Amino acid sequence: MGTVLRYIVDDIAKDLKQVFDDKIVQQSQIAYWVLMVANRLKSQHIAKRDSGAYMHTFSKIPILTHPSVSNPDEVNNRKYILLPESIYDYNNDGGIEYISYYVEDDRLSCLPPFTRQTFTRTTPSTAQRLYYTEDEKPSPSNPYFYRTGSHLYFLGIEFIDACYVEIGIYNTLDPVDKIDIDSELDFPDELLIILKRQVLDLGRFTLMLPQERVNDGSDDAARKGVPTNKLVSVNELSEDTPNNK
Amino acid sequence: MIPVQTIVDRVTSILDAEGSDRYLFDQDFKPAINLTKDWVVAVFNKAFADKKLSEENLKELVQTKIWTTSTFSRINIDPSVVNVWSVLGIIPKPTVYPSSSTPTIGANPDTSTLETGVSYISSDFSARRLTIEEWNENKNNVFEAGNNVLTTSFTEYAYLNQGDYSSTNYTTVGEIEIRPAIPSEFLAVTYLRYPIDISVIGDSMEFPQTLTDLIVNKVLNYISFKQGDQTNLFSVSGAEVATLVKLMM
Repeated sequence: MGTVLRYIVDDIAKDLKQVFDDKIVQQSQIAYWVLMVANRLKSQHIAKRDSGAYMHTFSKIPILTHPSVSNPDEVNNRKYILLPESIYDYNNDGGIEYISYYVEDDRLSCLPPFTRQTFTRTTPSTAQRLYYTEDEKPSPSNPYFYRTGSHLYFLGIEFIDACYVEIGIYNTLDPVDKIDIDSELDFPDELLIILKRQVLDLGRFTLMLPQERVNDGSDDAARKGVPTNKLVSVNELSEDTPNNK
Repeated sequence: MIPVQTIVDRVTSILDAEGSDRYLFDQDFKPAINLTKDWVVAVFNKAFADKKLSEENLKELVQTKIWTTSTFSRINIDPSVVNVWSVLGIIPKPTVYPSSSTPTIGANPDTSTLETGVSYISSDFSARRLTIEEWNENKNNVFEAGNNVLTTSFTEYAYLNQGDYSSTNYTTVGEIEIRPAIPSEFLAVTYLRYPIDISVIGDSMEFPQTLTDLIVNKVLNYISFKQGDQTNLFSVSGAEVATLVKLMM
């Protein structure tokens, strides 16, 4: 499990000297920065590694139908589920690892139910072609799903009474208004140092804004410009650059 | 605490008035000591405003009391009961003793109650003071204290300094407001109590003993007013006071 979010936030707050009563940066803002950077680093981490560490399974997700049309995304009488959490938007809906029918695992000697029939990903525009070959045609034994927003619509199960599915997803971290600061952050510990550095950079820039930019009702003739960091190209840092050798 | 007797003895000695009835307690020393007390309060106010002193210097006057907020998440500090010099901190969601205490709900929606039988123990929160403009601007800003949006584990409280919201239907005069709202709940307030006037020579001034020299000189300074402006006492005590205040500030 990961480090507690409060430890990360308080560590950064202390480094930025924002632990006194009239602090400029509140705890919630540092947490927002942490989640913003952590989501990016975590999505890169998952994309690089074939690991189940950050995949989460949600069972017994009810299959629903909309009784009427409501834009956007809600089409009536089409079977769907709602994504239980927000997911990383990888190529080809890679944020969804699998979807299968949900059946209680009551007989341990049998093949686990979720491995028997998984849903294959498609898109609305390519779905038409599937119906022209028997091997690919959507059916209860060969079901498909496609994603529109937070809806996952199904093809092939229109005429059966499937009630639930199981889904494995790579979900994003909860937003700042939902996450518990005392919960463990679902984030790889080995990337904490990069996370901290990037958040400190964000905070440092904020704290470098001079007081003259703050509207406190007073005027100061000696205005200073906003300090900026020198941007260094990665090429300049490369060992191939003659000046860097 | 500085015994008034100590101040009177030192002042009498400097005035070379031992055993004399030239200076009387009720007519000379008492008014001068009470004037000095008010003057020290004014000096401390300036020092606090400049953040040059901490409230630890006035530990004799620091108090924390519990109020139950009104349904509008406000408290009224009645000056006839609690004479506040300066509010040092507003502490929402306190743990109190006795732990079984329950908030006293007021008769009217705008009634808050000073809980005389309840003591403050601890809290995880502290409210930040906002100006009137910040109070409205920050209401929906999730990254500012006192916002109404983040009411999860990131809740950061704020308070608006005393204001009068009274009308014919709202009779409470002068209230501190806390946000996010904590209606009809305990709220702790840490404040500096205004020092009490001395009345008899057996009283004590509620200031730290380190201020004795400053107070003696200021008392002499006030007494010297009566002696005309050509005396040495006025200039000498005035110079002493100036030096001590400069050291303090």
